[in-house]
Amino acid sequence: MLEVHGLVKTYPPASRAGNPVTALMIDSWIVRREERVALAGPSGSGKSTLLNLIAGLIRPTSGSIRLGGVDLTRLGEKERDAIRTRQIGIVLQSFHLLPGFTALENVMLPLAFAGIKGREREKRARRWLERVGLGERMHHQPHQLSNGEQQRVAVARALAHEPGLVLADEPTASLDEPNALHIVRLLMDVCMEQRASLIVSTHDSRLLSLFGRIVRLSDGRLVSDETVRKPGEAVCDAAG
Amino acid sequence: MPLARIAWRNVKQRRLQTWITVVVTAIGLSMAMSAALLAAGLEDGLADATKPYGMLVGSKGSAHQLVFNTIYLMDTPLANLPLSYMRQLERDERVRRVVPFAMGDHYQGFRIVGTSGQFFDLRPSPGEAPAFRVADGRRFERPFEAVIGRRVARATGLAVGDEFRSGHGVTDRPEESENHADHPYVVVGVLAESGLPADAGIFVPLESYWISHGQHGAAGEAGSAGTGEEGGEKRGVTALLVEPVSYAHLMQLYADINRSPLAQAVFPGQVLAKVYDMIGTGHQALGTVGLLVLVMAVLTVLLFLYSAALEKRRPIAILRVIGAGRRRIFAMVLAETAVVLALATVLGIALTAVFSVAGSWLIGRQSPLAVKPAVSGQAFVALGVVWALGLAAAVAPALAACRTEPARHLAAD
Repeated sequence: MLEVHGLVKTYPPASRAGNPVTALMIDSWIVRREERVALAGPSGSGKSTLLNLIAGLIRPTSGSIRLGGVDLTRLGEKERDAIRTRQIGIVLQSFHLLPGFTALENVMLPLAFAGIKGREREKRARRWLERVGLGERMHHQPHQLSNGEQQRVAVARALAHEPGLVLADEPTASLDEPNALHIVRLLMDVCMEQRASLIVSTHDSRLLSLFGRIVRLSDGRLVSDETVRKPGEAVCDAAG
Repeated sequence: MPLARIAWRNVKQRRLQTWITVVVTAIGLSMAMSAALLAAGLEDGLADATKPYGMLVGSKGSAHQLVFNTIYLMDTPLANLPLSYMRQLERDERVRRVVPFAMGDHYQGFRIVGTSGQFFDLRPSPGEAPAFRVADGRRFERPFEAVIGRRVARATGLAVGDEFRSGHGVTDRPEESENHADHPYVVVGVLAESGLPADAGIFVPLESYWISHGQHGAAGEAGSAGTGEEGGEKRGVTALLVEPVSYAHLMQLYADINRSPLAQAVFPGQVLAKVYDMIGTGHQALGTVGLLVLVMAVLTVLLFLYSAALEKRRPIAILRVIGAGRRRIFAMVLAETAVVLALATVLGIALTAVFSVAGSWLIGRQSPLAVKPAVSGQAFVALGVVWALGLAAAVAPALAACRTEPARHLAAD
């Protein structure tokens, strides 16, 4: 379970005369296990900031973020890195696969950082690439893959270490509609299989109906939090 | 995935920059290393050449000239010692053996050395095999028989049974010198390659010298073996190798000979020590140039690393997001530097081999010295300097890389 309390992130002013910019301010927010949450809102609404804070990539100005009972904000960088390596999977907007590494190696890397040894690492990476439908393209370099395929590799990479929480920051922004739908469905399916919570930021309203819970952000504030389905409940096929 | 493999992939991603850095570093490294190897080889070559010669005796004059002319077959000969002086030393109870050397003629620029058969028995040290072994044919037995060094055989094409006519003098322009046309030499033996200046020498019986120079009748001419006088005969020698009965006798002889107004005795090793001092100055200059080249090479590594750090902010941010800690990023940049340095080391060693062989060939072409590049502590110092400075240069870019803020470089909105 993810619990956010009194979370504030402000950035220093751009000039001496300016005021600090509050990028995010959330009083209280909880994501339960296996929940699939869409973070909606326009650009600059604070979606990425919230995901970066949860991922431990940036530190909050104040407040707490508890994951599985551990307050991430009290941890040092090394411990946050360790939590991210084991418990959090991250999918980024522009796929961000490492150039020069094959699809298989891209999936194996986080497993290596998680301390999973050679053969098991490769076995697991192969299994995940097959799961996302790329069993035939494991040895392709990122530039040899389509955008949709690259994002599927990114999904496999985020899930391969079997995290309890998956964060996806605008994962469909660089994809056409069929690929976008495919990726979101894939994320939801694999998270359900893994019994992992999923938080996806998107400003694509067509995708929102796929999620059981929709949280809207505006100017860094949580303006609505709507639960459509309970965790584990079947998704209707409204989006296609 | 091991760190080294990730580093290797990253380096491969930037092939052009990597190879430019590797080549520049390797050239710097090889220049410094080959200079060190050649200097060490030159010192070894000079030292090895003196080993068969215990104490040299010649007329008063430059000790360097005596050593360089007799042992290294370079420079002009000193004035001759009279034959009577040689006979006097041979009769001395403190002397076990005297080997004469008469210089002043050449064949196609290769020095002709009049000596005795005992020359072929000289050993670098008592337990070792003779330094100058006849490999083809036999030693000389009669006047106008010659044993030639291996390099002479290679350069002139002379072989056992061939005849040649010597030229007078030790001029740098052999084609302009006067020939001893009436007394051709016959090659009866070829020395085995020794790596010593004797490879570039032609060894003939001392009598041949006296006979051919008697034909000239050039009395009083310095640097010619036939100009001394003994009982009306114009005979002399350029230098003598004197082997004493014991070490105590050696020191006595050394003192006695140097007291005489006629001759000087020198220990080639001592003369060499002074030569080393002179070489040392050049060595230092070479060392400074080598160090500067190395520093430039390391600056190239630094530039490579900084440009890599700038180019790689995003991949580093990705690595941070997927779980690579700052320490791992730091180690990865160092590993990349190590990969570049390892490639530069391999290429540098290969280039060092090429430069050293080319350098020793050039030295060998211009002098009778055979320089075999030798293992040198300075070469390892150069290697150590490159690695130490290269890795030190990597620290700042590595710190910059591990401070990369992933959120800043991968932001979506």
